[in-house]
Amino acid sequence: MAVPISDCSDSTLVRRACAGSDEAFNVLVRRWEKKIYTHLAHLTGRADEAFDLCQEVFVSAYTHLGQLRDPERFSPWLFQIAHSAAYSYFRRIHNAGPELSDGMQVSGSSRVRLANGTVLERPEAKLLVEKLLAMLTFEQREAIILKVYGGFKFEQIAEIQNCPLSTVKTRVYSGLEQLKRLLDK
Amino acid sequence: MGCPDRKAKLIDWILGELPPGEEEELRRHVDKCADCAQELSGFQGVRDVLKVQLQDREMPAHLVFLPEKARELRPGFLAQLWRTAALAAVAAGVFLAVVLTGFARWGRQPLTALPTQTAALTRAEVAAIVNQELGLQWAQQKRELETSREKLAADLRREQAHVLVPITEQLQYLQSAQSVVWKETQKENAYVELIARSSLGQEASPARRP
Repeated sequence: MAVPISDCSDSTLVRRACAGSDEAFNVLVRRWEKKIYTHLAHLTGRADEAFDLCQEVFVSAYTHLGQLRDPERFSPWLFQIAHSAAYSYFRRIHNAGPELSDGMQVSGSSRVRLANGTVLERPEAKLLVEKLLAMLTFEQREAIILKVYGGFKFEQIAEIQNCPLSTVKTRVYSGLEQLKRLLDK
Repeated sequence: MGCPDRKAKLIDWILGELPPGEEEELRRHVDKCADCAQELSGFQGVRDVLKVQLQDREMPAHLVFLPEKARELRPGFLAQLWRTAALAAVAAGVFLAVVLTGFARWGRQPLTALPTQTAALTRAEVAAIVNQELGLQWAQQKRELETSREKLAADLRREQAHVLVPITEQLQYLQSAQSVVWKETQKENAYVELIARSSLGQEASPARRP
């Protein structure tokens, strides 16, 4: 019995899309659009810009799909495109840090307890995290978001950011230490 | 604070990057080291705050994927070939437009469209057109003839002036020379006459002597 296309793996869908199946690429879009959008929203801090960049990412992915040598590595490759798009965005606006949120919706539960025992309501925690992330460099912020939100391994983040593994570790360690110091205050 | 050489391992641990063999050893160390335990707690707090915050966000809308539009953007050999061909055609068109415009402006104007005849002409209309054309030609020839005649007359006058002036001067010279000769002749005659009379007077006077 044939597997429904929506249940196919990324690599299978990539191969089918490369062979000309628009349906396969549509499944990939549906599968990854939210992840890419959220990643870009965290990076930029702007929902509208994140949505536009998200479209750019998938258009770029479609046009360059034939250049993906290993279909198994579709998601790091997609985040690599998102990295380039976000980097171009920040270069375009000449702004190292993202602006504060413009009303993005967040779902999930309610309270956050900090290490020093402080309990924050979710909107407060949201603002706090955005402010803290805005204090990091673009590369630190992206590496931490890729790690904590994207769940990528350091090696994959190095591939996405196109830098050595040691550089990624340094970015993550220094970024987390900086966040810890700020939260302890 | 803590063990500096273990800080990276603590972060690796809370991020799931620590090799399985090292996890148990680090756990035993943290159980005994209060500083490392506090460090670990602090990093876990950061991670938890981030995890709570960094969650999926609702998109304002799903992406609408238009294969036709996206396919236009896909750089393939055929697409590049078509793009190259299109550019070549545009370039050739521009070149031809420039050449033909220049030829039409400075050349023999080969692009002038011939007037189209919408209906046949009657004999009278043809005759009128022929007469009109003949009249125009005759007037043109007349103008040319008059111009030519005026030009010839001017040339003749110029030539006559060129020839007559020296003739007139020569005639005037001859006239003045003849006048001088005539005057000299008159004087000479007068002298001759005087001499002749003198001679005749001398011959007559002895005869009248007693």
